[in-house]
Amino acid sequence: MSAESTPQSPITIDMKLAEYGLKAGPETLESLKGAVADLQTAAKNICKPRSYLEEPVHALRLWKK
Amino acid sequence: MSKTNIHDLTIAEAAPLIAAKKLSPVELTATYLKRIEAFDGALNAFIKVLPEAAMASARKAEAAIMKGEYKGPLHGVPIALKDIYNTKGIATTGHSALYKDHVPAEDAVTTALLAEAGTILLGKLSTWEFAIGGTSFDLPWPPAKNPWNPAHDPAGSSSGSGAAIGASLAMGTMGTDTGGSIRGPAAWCGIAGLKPTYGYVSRRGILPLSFSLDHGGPMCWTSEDCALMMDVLAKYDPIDPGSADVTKADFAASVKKDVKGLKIGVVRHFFEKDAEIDPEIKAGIEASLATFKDLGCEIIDVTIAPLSAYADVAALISRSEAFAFHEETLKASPELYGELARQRIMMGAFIRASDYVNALRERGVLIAQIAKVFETVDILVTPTMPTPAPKLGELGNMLSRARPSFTRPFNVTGSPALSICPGFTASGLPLNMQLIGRPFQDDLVLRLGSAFEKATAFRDTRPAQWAMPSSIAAE
Amino acid sequence: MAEPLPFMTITALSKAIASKALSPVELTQTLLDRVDQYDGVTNAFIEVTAELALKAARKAESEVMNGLSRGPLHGIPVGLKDIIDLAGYRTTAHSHQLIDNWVKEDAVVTAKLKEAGAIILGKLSTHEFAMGGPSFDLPFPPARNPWNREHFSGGSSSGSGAAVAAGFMPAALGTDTGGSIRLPAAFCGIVGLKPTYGLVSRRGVLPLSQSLDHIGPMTWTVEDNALLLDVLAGHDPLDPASADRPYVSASAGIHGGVKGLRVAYLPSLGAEAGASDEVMKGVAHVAETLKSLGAIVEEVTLPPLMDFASCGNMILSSEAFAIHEPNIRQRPEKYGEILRDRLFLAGFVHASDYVHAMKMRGELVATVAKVMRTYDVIICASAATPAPKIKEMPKFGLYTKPPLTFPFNVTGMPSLSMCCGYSASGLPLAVQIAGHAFEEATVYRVAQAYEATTTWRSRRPDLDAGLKALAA
Repeated sequence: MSAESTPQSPITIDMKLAEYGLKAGPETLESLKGAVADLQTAAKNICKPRSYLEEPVHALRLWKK
Repeated sequence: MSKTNIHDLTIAEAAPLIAAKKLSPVELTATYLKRIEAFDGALNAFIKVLPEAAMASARKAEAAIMKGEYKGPLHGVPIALKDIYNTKGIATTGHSALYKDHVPAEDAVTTALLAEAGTILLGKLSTWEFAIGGTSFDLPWPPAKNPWNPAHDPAGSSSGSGAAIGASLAMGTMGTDTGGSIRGPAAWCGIAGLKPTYGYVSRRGILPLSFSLDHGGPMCWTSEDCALMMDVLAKYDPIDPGSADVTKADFAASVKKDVKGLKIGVVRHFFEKDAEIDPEIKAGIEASLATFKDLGCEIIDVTIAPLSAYADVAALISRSEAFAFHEETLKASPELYGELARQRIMMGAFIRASDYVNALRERGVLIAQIAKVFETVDILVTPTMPTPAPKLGELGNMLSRARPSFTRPFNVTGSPALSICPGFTASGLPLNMQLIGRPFQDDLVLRLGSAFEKATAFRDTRPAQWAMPSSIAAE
Repeated sequence: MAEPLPFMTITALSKAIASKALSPVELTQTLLDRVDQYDGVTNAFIEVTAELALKAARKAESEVMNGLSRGPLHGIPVGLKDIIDLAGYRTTAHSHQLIDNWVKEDAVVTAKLKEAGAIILGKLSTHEFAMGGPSFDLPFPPARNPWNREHFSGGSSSGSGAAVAAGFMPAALGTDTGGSIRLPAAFCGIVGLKPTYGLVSRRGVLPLSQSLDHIGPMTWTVEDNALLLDVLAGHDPLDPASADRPYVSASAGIHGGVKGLRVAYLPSLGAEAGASDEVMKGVAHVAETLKSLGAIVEEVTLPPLMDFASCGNMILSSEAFAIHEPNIRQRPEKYGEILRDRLFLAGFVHASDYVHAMKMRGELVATVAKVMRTYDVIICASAATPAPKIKEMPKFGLYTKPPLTFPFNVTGMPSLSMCCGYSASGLPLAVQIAGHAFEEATVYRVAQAYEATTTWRSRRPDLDAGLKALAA
């Protein structure tokens, strides 16, 4: 497997919907384009190396103060 | 008291009259039901009105009060619930064809708390479909309209909750807020709406949208009324995993205290750099800052993360969680969703788990960062909405990165955030302003809102077109 | 001294050191020589920090001579899994990616060990980034089982397990995300504790999956393990998961016995995973022993292992991919094949799957808590079989054959693995003892009571036989 075939490679919107078993009309598909691009930008913006000091906020808590 | 109409009373004004047996809950309820009947056809604030049940509980409340069993400031007060709050035996539709016949077996925790406090439930209110899809015209019920001008949008998703208060069709309503759904309608409908601190109010029995960003909260004519509602609503719920086991503030007492010496931080970069705002909204904020100064507050400018940083995190989290909740039904019955809900929920299918994890981590960073800013100020001020209400349905692409919202940052941080009305545009639509506080200092936020409302005359003006005399018999 | 130095417990060593009968320098040198002689058998070490160790040993010696005592770990050599930072050394994570990752600061746990007077003997082998292994395409060979070097020492704290069993050190630190302390403990026949989530700070340790990762001690005996936990535990305001609550010594009541304790015996876990007869009998014998010691033992069931594994795998994959994404895009060739493929697979998890997994985690925590309302501990198998052959480890085993240790990462409960006998082939068998959150003391009490009735601690791997096998 090469880097180019990692899950980040571009997958078309209708392929992705089909993968989920979702059906969408042409109007939905069209409007999803911009929204999905926004999401991908968002994902890119927050992808950076993170240590334990940046734990997902709703991780397990077994204790109370 | 200068007010002559019952429906112009705030909860805080009506409560002592009810307690003193000078104002009858039956009369009060009948007045509101009459107004709903007369005006809601033009506003669509209600999905369902419950006249018989409301009158029955009004009579019950009255009888209890006459026997000396007064429960507190909400006793006998007519309220209404956004139609995603479960009501036992009464359909809770989410304004969706999918849930048209969804009749819950139990009340939401908040529904029950309000009932125990003696409120009178007038009915269930319009929302965006499942609090996400709107303003929509392809649903089983029409969208709510703006009480100041029905040609305009009331904002969403708690549209009916905002419209009902704006047009005096209820004294208090409940909204929910995942990205601004209490504060947006509060802004455009010219009322007070509080998104409480995450965890302060139970969400059990409310239809979820995005569980880690969802908040339930009060919408009223004044901040003081929101405080009275919070005294009933703020209660630890061990079964809601997001609920916080904290000591509740005495809201009724706290809201009356002085605001002198409060340090107010203006997040100027939000509206001067990160996003564009309407000049009238900006002028309203500047004028309000002068009022805060007159009240003895100290005003400074502060910097937090740019709007886009919050927008990225909020979009990834909310879409992931909304999709997870709707995944099965969206696959099975996509046709039962309206177009906008379908689109917005489907976006969640494009997010990878690692993006969601990163968003949760970035959220932690943003929370830590704002906590640091709150070491130097007590309250933050921003606009609630960048513009006054546009024409109905003309929201544009509300949720795109190009138009970051001023409200979503505080769903990300969980901070208490209140929208209040600091005046009106030349065309008579409400201006807006958002006050944000430290976690679990909702009472302080409401205190500042209330002080502002009492120092200014904006709460004296109600929309003119819903006039119908209802005299205050007791005075 | 009845036993040779490498086989003495911390309890015995620290007595000898405190009474000035044993010099930390002599002890450290003895162990360094032993590593030098035998580590070809186990590949437990990535780096032997001899210079640092001898310096620390001399300091400990002079402190002891001057009457300064730092407690039971004073002068005791320990090792660190090589994802734990040690100032002045590399933290390689057993990977080409981090081959030049020199660090300037100690991890919190490293600093705590040093403060307690422990001597850092070296950095120990792991799966690549605690996730990919056993692998043969990494900068260092995988650790091998000291009981039989053809066999796997368990992962991912493979070197830690091997080093303790081999008598290279009386204690090592491991990390555990799905069983990475308890599996090597099981396969190497030692004691390994995954503490409660939030008890031990993870600052300065490379993350694998933030919401499932734990750091814990690996030792030859139960009592030694508790001595280490007493040093490692404590609130760290900079680790967001760290529990802000007072710590009660886990070693203090360790000899309290099990009379009246309520033990939930969970044979179904092993049965579900197709555990071997030897394993099932070994665990059953622990149950009987505890009963004979006065515990109330009752059989219980929990949700299926697959539920815990599905939930845990979704969380682990998602969080691990989030951490490795920049590297897997930019320099995938620097990962070994196993980790690279596991990460590629992890990239297919959707956000909604993770959301569902977290909800499911909440439900599983609640379900187990409900069962535990009437019990003090759970006992079950640590692994379905003794250590398998190192060449027979599946690439995606986490999915196909989930570890029996995984449920307690999902619930965050403390869980200990210890030896409960040996297979006919001479490999260790192991039992797992899990307890209520933050009640490590009870887990240790049960483990100690059992250990005291057995002779398992008198047997050690034959490293000379290992050397012969290596030569052949």
